[in-house]
Amino acid sequence: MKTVEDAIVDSNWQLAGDLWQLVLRSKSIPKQIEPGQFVHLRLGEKSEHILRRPLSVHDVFADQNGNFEYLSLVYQVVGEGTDYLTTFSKGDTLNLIGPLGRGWQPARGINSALLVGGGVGWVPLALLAGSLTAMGVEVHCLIGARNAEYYDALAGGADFRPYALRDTQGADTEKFFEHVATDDGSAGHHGFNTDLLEGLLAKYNFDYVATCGPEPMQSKVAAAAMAREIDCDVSLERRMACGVGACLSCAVDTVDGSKRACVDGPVFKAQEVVW
Amino acid sequence: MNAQNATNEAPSEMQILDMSVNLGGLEMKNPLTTASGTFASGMEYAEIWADSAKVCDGHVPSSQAAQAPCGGLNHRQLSINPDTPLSCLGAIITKGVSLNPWPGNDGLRIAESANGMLNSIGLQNPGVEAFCTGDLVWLANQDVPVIVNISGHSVAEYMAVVERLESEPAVSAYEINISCPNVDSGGMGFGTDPLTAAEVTAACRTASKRPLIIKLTPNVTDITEVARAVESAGADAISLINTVAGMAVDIHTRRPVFDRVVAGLSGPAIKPIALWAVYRVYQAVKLPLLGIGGIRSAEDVVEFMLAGATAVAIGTANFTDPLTAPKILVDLKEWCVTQGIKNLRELIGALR
Repeated sequence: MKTVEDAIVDSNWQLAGDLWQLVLRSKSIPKQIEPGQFVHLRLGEKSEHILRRPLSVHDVFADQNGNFEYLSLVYQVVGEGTDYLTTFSKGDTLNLIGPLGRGWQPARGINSALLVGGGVGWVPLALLAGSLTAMGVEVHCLIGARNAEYYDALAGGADFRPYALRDTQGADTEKFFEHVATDDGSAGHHGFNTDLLEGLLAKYNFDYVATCGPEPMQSKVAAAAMAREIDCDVSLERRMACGVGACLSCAVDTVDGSKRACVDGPVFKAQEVVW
Repeated sequence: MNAQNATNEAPSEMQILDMSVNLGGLEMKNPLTTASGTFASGMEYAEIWADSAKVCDGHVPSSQAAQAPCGGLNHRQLSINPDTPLSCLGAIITKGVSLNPWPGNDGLRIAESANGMLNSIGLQNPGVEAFCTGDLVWLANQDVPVIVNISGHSVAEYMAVVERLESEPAVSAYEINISCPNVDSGGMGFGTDPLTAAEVTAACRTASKRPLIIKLTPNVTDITEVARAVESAGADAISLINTVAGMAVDIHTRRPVFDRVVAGLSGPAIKPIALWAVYRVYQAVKLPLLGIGGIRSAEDVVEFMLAGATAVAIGTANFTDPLTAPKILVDLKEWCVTQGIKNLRELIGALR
């Protein structure tokens, strides 16, 4: 159920460079979020920014009483709007619409998944990594980042690893793997994460691939997965106005014609998308 | 009616608050409608309005309006019938409908600007036949007057859409878009020349007796000239303004942001332009006016009515806050009560 809700800022801090983490307290949205969904965030009541910002949900977590009321959003400062978002602090109110969109669609009964995230595109995959791990699926995370600091911010400093292993006491943590590539070689492979793609696909027997990040990266991942006939989901970023399917700003070309990233996506089957 | 919840007035006093208006033959229970292209056919907003009412209320009375205070509503009590959420509006104006399916524009379709936004959607729609067998079937049961917005590449196309819709009893009125900056042939081309504006109007007039609203562009030297032309050609009402032509530049690529370069500016940034257009056209013609442009509060509605608007449409504000229209209704009622206004029509053109 889509809710329009005033959420309260719990924290908003700089993870690394232009990457920030915003944690919000929201009564109804964290409970309903499925991995890959997003919230549409209004930049304050009095802002000159009249368009909301669609932000992927990175994590949800509970307070001491077990109430799932916290929502973690990791965002990159890319313009005036996201720059303004960094000025909000604990106790401030931010209005959300959510949960929105169609999330990741792994088939039931999968055994081994490859999650490929490029930069801040890793964010919507973090929750998926957690939920697949909790289901006992072998999860390989292939993360591309600018440098070691960004990699830590995306995968380590934030809640990703804690979440992935949090609700999985008893789950086999030996089924959880991280592979990393950085632009400057300060962590993992020196180069693109897609350089490691073929090696991983050849070595492991994946039955699901999910990817989010720059579209050239996603299209490479999609092509590689489709070549091996592995079920593959991609998550596409588009500018959005309404976020609920009405305005047709976020059009995505698909084999079935134009679709809306906000309600038909942001996750699409790789073979649906016309790249 | 729930203004009694917002004030301490006795219910008997409330019943004499009359918010109804008549827009060129279209009876509206209040002056609020939705600007074409910002609201699709209303289905998406109906869901959110109904859900908001549920969240707030905890339970949903199926036959009566849910009184809904909740987070995001700033303690307003929305009056939303969960079965027919759009019925709180005076009317709904649909997304533009053309004779054949239109694919819309390539490339980026929106960009934010200070207190506004640019769009280059390009009137993407599945065509009138799909509209009649799809959205209109749903709209027919929503207990709200339906104004269908019509686009065309030629006078014949506008006429053909009206003719197809004439057999649909769910349609209450037409809004003819001769003012969209986002399509190459047709669109704004018809609305910048008084002669062609009159030609489209006259053609649609011969095809229907239903209320005919002509939507004008501000991108002309003298909007009153076009207004007078469509009045003479048989229009029943005029809606104004469509978006203001503008552009955006990407300094990194050194290219225009939009593939078509030009895009349509909307939002609070254009409200003064819209008010000025409504004010001038109100002096120039006898037709009732539908004011559009940056409206986001009850105060804005009152401003447009004072400047001469009989009704108003909420557009870009639907994006900023999907609950804008129901919130404005509550606030407008409260404003009328505090001002001692018993008939909203007394505001129309009442600028001193």
